[in-house]
Amino acid sequence: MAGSDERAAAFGMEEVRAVADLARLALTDAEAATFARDLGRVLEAAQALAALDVEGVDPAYRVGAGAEDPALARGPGAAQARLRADEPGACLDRDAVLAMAPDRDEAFFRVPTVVERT
Amino acid sequence: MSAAERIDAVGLSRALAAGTVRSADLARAAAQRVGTRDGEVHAFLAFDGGRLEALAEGADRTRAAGQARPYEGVPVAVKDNLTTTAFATTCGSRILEDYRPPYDATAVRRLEAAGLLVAGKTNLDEFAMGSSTEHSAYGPTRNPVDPTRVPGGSSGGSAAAVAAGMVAWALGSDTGGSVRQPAAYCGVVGLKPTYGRVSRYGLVAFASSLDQVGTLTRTVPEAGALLGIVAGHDPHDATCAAEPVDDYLGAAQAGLAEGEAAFAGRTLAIPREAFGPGVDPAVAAEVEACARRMERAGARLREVSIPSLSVALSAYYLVATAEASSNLARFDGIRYGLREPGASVLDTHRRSREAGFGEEVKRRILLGTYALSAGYYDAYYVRAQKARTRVRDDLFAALADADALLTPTAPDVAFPLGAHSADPLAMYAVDILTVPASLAGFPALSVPAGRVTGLPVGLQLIGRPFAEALLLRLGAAWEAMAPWPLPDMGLADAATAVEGGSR
Repeated sequence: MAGSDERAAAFGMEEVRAVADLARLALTDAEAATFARDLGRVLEAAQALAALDVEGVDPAYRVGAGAEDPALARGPGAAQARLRADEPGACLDRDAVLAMAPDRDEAFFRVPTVVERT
Repeated sequence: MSAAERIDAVGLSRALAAGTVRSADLARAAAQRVGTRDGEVHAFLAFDGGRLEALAEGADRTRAAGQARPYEGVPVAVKDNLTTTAFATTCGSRILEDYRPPYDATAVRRLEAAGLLVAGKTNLDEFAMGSSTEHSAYGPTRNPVDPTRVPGGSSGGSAAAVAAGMVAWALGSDTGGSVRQPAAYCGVVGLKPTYGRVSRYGLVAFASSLDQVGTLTRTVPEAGALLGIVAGHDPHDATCAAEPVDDYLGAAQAGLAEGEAAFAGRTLAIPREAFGPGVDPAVAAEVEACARRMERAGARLREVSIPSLSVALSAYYLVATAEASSNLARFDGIRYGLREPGASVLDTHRRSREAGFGEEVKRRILLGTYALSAGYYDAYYVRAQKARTRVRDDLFAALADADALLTPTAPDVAFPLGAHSADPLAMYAVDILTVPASLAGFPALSVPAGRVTGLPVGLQLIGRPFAEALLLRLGAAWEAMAPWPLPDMGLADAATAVEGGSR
């Protein structure tokens, strides 16, 4: 397909590093090279989607209950109809949650300094 | 075949009620099978025989006191991406090594509320991303049928635990085929319910619009029994359906009793694309032969076309990875899991994720991040979601005049370990026949359908939303027509227990 070769070829190390930065991943050079090749190939295969006629087709952002009626499943009220009342209820025990923290300070998660004191 | 080897959900329940089998016997047999087989198979990431036996003895006391529920004291395995307070929940990832969740998944709570005993946690592709269980940070699982081959994935540990006779029942999760494809490869029964049929609360999220808890069992009635236990509305999951829970076990038992008669007057839609290029001709021929047997039993076979099948795989991998890139953002080294300290918070995020995630997870996060990024969002993500609508419309159309769609579950049989390790696209292609039902949110059942070169083949029945009871009825009817060998669970001593049971 026209354009797919350029797109695959254009998926180079720099592009992988830019995406990895968005995804908060530090990659080794070897990983970046592997992923540049793999992602290029996967996206090239995905060019088949471009050939599909989706004129007038709505994106399926929702599946599940109500899916037996496609119009309802895609309608704006599909999810809202099942939302529960916004009422306070039981939640997880704070100590049980904090027990799994890599670093904590009593009732807080401890993280590296975000804002320096002046 | 002895009665013990064909013991099913009802037979087991009756044997326990009659006192000819005790829960402690089941627990000891499970521990013994794990001891003799799991060094090679590696189905379990965590198994605690002592805990299981203690729980089983408690179940036997409950039964002696006349307070037993139908499946009191039956051991069950749980995929290690469902949270458990009794076991670490690793998702097969280094980033969650030793992670002990502060709550139990709803599906797990329902197992325990029904009296079942969680025997341990099963291996999986890291965060359920894979089709072979080779992408586990803790080493691969092997197929009990042929240990040189993969069990499929990502619920490969659960499928292998059932196929090796370690447990009768297991829970898995299915995002694009992760229950059905390992069931097919290992020669067991796999059911992916309708999206929303089972609560996802406590199922560590991979792709939230696709993820669904499913069952892996030796027989179809057991799938019905297990689904009946875990299905139903849960206020903790807004996508969990409020539809009434049918009598799934009853439907399966009816099908088992009817046998061929269950197919009389039924229409099965056969998508021609599911038997064409990309599908091993021997697998296609085996499944087609099964369809012909159903036809001779009285079913009408209607050839249909699902034009969108050619793009379903690409649509799936873009939608699933996009959702994964968002869901896995929570693993940042701050609140739980692995932390690799850095000079800044951002650096800590990057270093923790680099050290904690394996290659396939990184590959999918990158693909999903790219598909959602500015400039590519419409071309990839939105277009994939439109293709998803087409897939769902095509399935609805194919099912308009049919009771179920019939296809092979996987395009092949279990492949040797390492066969697709260097080629992600070849690994993804294994999901070609399972992703359509996932994209549409429809239920699908995989049942054993003969063998090719000695390896199990899976037959998939896809139904309309919430048609699980019908799928189980037809699947059990097929089981009555073509019973497959059941794993030896080491219960030979209890053989007399089930004489006169449901079989």
